[in-house]
Amino acid sequence: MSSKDMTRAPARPATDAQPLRGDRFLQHIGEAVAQAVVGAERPLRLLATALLAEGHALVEDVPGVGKTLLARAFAASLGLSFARVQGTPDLLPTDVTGSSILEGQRFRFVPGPVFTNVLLVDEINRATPRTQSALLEAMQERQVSAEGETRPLPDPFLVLATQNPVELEGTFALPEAQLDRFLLRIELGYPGEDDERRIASRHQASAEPMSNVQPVHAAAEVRALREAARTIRVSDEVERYAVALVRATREQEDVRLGASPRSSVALYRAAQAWALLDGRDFVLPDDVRSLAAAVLEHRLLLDVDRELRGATVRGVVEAVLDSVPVPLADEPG
Amino acid sequence: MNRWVAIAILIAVLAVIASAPGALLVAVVTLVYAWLTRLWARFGVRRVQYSRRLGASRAVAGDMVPLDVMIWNRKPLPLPWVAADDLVSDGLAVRERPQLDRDNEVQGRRIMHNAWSLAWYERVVRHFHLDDVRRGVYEFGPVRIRVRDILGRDAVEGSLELPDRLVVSPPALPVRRSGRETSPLGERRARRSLFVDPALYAGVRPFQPGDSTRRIHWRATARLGRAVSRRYEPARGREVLLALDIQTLPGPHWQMTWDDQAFEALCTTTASLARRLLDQGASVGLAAASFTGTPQRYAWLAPQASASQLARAGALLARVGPICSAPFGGLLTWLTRRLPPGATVMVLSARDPRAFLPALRRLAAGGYSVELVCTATDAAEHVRHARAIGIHAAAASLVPSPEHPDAVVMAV
Repeated sequence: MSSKDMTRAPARPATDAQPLRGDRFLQHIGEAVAQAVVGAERPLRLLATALLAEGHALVEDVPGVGKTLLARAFAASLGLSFARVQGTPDLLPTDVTGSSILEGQRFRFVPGPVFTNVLLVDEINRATPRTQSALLEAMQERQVSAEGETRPLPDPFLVLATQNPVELEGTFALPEAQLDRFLLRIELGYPGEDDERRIASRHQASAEPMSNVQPVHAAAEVRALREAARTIRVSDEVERYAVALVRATREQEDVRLGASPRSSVALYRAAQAWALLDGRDFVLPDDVRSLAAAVLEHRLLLDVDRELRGATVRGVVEAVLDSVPVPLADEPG
Repeated sequence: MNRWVAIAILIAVLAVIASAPGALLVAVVTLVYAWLTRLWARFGVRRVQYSRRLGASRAVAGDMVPLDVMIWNRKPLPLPWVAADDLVSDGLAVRERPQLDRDNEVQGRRIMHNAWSLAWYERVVRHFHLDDVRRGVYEFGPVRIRVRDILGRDAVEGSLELPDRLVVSPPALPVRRSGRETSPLGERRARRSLFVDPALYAGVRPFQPGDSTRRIHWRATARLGRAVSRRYEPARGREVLLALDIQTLPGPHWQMTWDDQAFEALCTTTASLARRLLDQGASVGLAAASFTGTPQRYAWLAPQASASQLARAGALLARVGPICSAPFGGLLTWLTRRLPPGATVMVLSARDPRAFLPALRRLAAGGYSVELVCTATDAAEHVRHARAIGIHAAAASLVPSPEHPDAVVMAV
């Protein structure tokens, strides 16, 4: 049910003379991931944003668009330790966190796949709610409490969960509390015609495209970039704008449960990482707008009657973006 | 027209040679007329933009849905008369067009006719209202556009696909109980459960060959000095499948007659119960032996407890038609391949249940919890038949009236 890869040394070591820039980092992993995945620039950038903003990502789309491949290629390009858990109804929490086994007269803790840098939880909605909730502490606190002892998780730690929104049979919908813990929800969408032809020809040429993905950065570089992301400047206007967007979701009549204050933090942190990946040291209102859908959509709960009348979370976020005025550069204060 | 132009030119030449101004005037008038006609025939529908905007793509039965139609003449040539015949599905009532003619070319469509006179670069928007929409799926398009020239002759016509769809779900009304509530809706004790829930830890038992090592309780094993395995409670997750018996009149399933009011009441009751069950935290699914516009024999929605399940159920109920695709007993047998034993099968029917009571008994014997909800006017009689063989049954009715309901009352 789970598999674990060893950490690989990066093919492109960082130079001490010049600190790694966010845009170069994105370019490097983009080139590495492109060896296996075609045409997923925005999803990849969102994954990098989640990593640098110390969040987790939920990759949601129909079967066969490359959700799992993208997550695997992303982990491989970073040279981080990687583990995969396949969500099934009989998956137990201890299958994820680990458990103690008796050896002689002593117990020995066998760590589960969660003790890794990048954890791919494939088809998370096929796991039972109990197993899903076992991930909660790991995702939020970055630690695991098992057998009366708390163990910290490796740093960096990123959960990439995938789920298929179409097949509902035998699935357990993620509760709102857990959805809220995902920094971003990422949709891949179908590739364009040219991209699809490239995908087909690539699979003809190579049986396993993942074998071409080489690690280009190391964990230390990721940690350094993460620290850099925290220092990205967010002006008062942009901060007010991000908070106003989140608060506006609670006033929409289509919404039963608006975005939580955690969403404000998520939008703020994600915008910092997004700006860093653009090579800037300040956040623009456009960064916030670009991320609003990915950060907010999965945190909103629609009113049942409105949903019957065709309301969608995408429509709500678009309405919010239309209604909240964007701060302009020449605005006083 | 080319022949007339040639004749006019010939007359003009002869008129000039013969110095006959009258003939020349006739030739010039003919040429101008030919030129005008060709002008509208050639450019009439060019750069004419027609669009239709539905106020919503999803609605609930009884809603009013706004519909805007826009036409824009994006060229310097004025259009003295332009008409658009927009085809809409049968069954829609347009407030501003009380009478819609039936279309002869596309079956099941009516024509929403509009005509305008447009100056150059003029844009006109007309607002319509679809009143009191009924449950169903309504298609819009194609649109046929005709243009007449300045003399009122048909100049040119074109067509646009412009597809649109309006899905109208039945209303999901509040459900009230008239009797004493003994247990939550859809929850009855199943005879047995094949599954255990690892979330419900119930103690330990001696290790048995075949037990997974994941199930061994290592601490208890160390304490007791012998291998013991964890024991769990049976699964108690509430999974309710609403099985809709769409046949509303007695007789064979293939008959093409139905009671429209009873069928609509059945759909409304199903949507209302789905909402109530989802509110109570149950996983709710839906099944019916009905044609829904897909090749599948049965309409099927897998049980789920997510917030958007009611919208999915509503969309499926919008597509369900009153003609059976298979016998209802066949659907109940098919369900045993899709549902785990222990789940509740809630059957909703508007006819005498004696036709399918043996199938219900087989389901109950197979470990399913079976409940019957009768929605017919003589539901009390139907309930008695079901209870006589040990099937839990209740009568449901729409109040204050089946035509304009605001609640479902369940008589337990």
